[in-house]
Amino acid sequence: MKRRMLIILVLLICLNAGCWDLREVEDLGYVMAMAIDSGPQGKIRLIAQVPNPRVLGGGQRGGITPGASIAAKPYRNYEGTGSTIFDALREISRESSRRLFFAQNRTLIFSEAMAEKGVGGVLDFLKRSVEIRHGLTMVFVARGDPAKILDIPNPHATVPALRIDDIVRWRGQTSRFAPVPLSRFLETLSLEGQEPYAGVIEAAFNPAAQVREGEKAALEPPLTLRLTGAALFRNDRMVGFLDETETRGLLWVLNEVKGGQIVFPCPGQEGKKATIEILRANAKIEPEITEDGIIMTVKIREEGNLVEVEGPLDTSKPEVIKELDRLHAAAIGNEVMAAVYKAQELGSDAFGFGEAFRRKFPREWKKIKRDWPEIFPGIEVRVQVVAHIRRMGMTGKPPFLAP
Amino acid sequence: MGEVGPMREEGKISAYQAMVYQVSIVLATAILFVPAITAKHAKQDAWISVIIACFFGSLQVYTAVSLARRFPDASVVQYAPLILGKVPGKVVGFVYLFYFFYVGYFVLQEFSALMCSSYMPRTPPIVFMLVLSLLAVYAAYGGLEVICRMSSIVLTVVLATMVLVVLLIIKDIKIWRFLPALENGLGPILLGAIPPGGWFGETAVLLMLYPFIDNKEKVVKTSFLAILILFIAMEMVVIGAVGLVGPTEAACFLFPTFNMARLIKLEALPILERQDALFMMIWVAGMLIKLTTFFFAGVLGLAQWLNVKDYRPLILPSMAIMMALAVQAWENIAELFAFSGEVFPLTIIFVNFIITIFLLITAGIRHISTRKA
Repeated sequence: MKRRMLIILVLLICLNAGCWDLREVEDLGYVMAMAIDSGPQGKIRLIAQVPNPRVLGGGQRGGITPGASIAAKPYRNYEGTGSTIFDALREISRESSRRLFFAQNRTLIFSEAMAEKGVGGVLDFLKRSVEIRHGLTMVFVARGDPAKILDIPNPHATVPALRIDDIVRWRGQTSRFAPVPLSRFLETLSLEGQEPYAGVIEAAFNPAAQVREGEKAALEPPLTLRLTGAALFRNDRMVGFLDETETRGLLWVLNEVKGGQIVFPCPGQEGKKATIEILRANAKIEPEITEDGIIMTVKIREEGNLVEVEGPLDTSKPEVIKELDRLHAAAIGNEVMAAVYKAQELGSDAFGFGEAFRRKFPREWKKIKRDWPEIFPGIEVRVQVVAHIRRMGMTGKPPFLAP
Repeated sequence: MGEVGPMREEGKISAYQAMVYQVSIVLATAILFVPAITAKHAKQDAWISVIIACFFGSLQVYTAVSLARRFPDASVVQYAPLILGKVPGKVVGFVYLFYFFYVGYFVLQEFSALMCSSYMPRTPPIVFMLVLSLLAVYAAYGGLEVICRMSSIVLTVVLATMVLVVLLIIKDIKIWRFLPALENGLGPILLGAIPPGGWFGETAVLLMLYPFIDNKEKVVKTSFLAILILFIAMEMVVIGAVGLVGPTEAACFLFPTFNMARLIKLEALPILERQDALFMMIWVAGMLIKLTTFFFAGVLGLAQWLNVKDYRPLILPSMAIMMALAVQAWENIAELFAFSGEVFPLTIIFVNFIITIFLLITAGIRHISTRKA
């Protein structure tokens, strides 16, 4: 009797798995990237990129050439328009054979127009939705039509969303673009003394696509995907862009520089350059109140490896390294100041100077927080960089300097 | 007045098993809601609120132990009439046992709220309530010893998983999110300490368990140990949630601990990301022991209040009433949350602290005690 009960119970487990919310993997369309654009008449235009597992798994090189048939494409970009984002989403579902599923989405792109109009309304949906993962979704602003950007072919990572994801993964190679997780974007939006920023994504001319003489046509796609710079926001509205140098200036202050190259003039010979690869960096903002107003001191410590010297420098001498330390510290300082000037011009405190001030002087902050947007462009920012070259590769001297 | 003494054999538990019971009765809901509710008032100082709440909780549990020690062979429902006289005593006894049902149906609602909001939106909430309450009913039939042993196992797993989740996010916790300390003075911190203080006070369930405890001399120690375990668990989730997304965001999310588990990000080991399922496991298991402990205490109290020899016939009718109360109680999640932040803590503090201390003082003045000298 007991055994029979047990068997029945075990069988019941098989029958009752999943309840009402059962969803089979085969029925889901995994959205890998979504782009949000503002459409005509205040509507929202949404693009959702869903990979096509049949083509991806079949090992075909789909989508290399722009003219390839749609069946060979390893992804499909669904596009829909609606009054709200959820409305647009459900419009798309009328085209899709699978239920669109957003938990795997890692890329969120706002068009420039959308970002300028304000993303607050859209963010509410993303915050409410249980499928969107705030920690894994990276926020970008697109320069140009996001639909075009999400349709740029590439032979390696054939789905553009995966390609973006991989490029983000290797962001420490340059630290010249600023992807930000949605969770951080939302947090900075909620802070009084810090404004959000986002990465910038664009479709750039592909230099490898040039038609050379004697060749019929290029097999390379004419455009390539490019992650570049940062977009600064004031509240939920984008106010402008930082270029790549300025972006790294911002990232230094935010402690987000994970690596990258610093090129600076090499002493000893005019026009020659030296290059450092950044190993690690650490920054701290120290606010002060003086009679002349608020002064922010950004203290940066950086360590790097020397990877290239063009000039005739005997790098085996410690005093030469000291000189290079000083020079590349100055280069870092210049990047930070360029970012600060640009951000002050745009009126967006993406650095969190206001937050640093609040943390150190909570009482004074209460008095000035309302006026912070007006105060921020006028504050004095100082940068102190301590930079160290730790190692220099496998050679002690440039080749032409050998005795 | 009938004679006061233990009911039909309910088994004996050790002081440590009582501690497990005390921890189980608080843990599950507290860890899910404490960050949002305390951060709402105390902002980045939520962790200080939890410390204050811990002291308040210790005071409550000490009051409860002091009262229980005067009546080593009976539960509060049984000796309240001895202290206050028949009718007022019965009223107080009913308040106590209703409190257990009251939190019980609140737990049912909270459970279905999270399950429907985040995991299974299409499943009717009644299904979650039914499944959980049937399990609780089954456990209640097993009796006190069974519940204690089940809780020990579940609690070990739950606490270990919680530690794992916190370890996975520890690298993303930023100290500067807790600065500046005491930005708005002590007031908001105290306000933020009230709800967790109420939760800590739920350990006063000892008033029901005391007659069944074997080694009564250890109860003070184990009760404080229970408070300590709860304190560590609450601090972990408060520091985790606030240190990960900042106080404003932590206060904004309905289930910040759930969000915390979702924010695990490890580029080196992506297999450990996306721990929602793990969190769901802790949550369901934790809610089960929470409901069971409350429900059992309630049914036991009801049987004692009615002077019935065995509580078992009361199990199914009680659960039916609890389910009905749970279904009709809150219309939407906004009501549920407003209630759990503002009304709920005060009511449980009233039962666990105000009534208990009132009973203790009255018993002290009237020199009522059944303890053998």
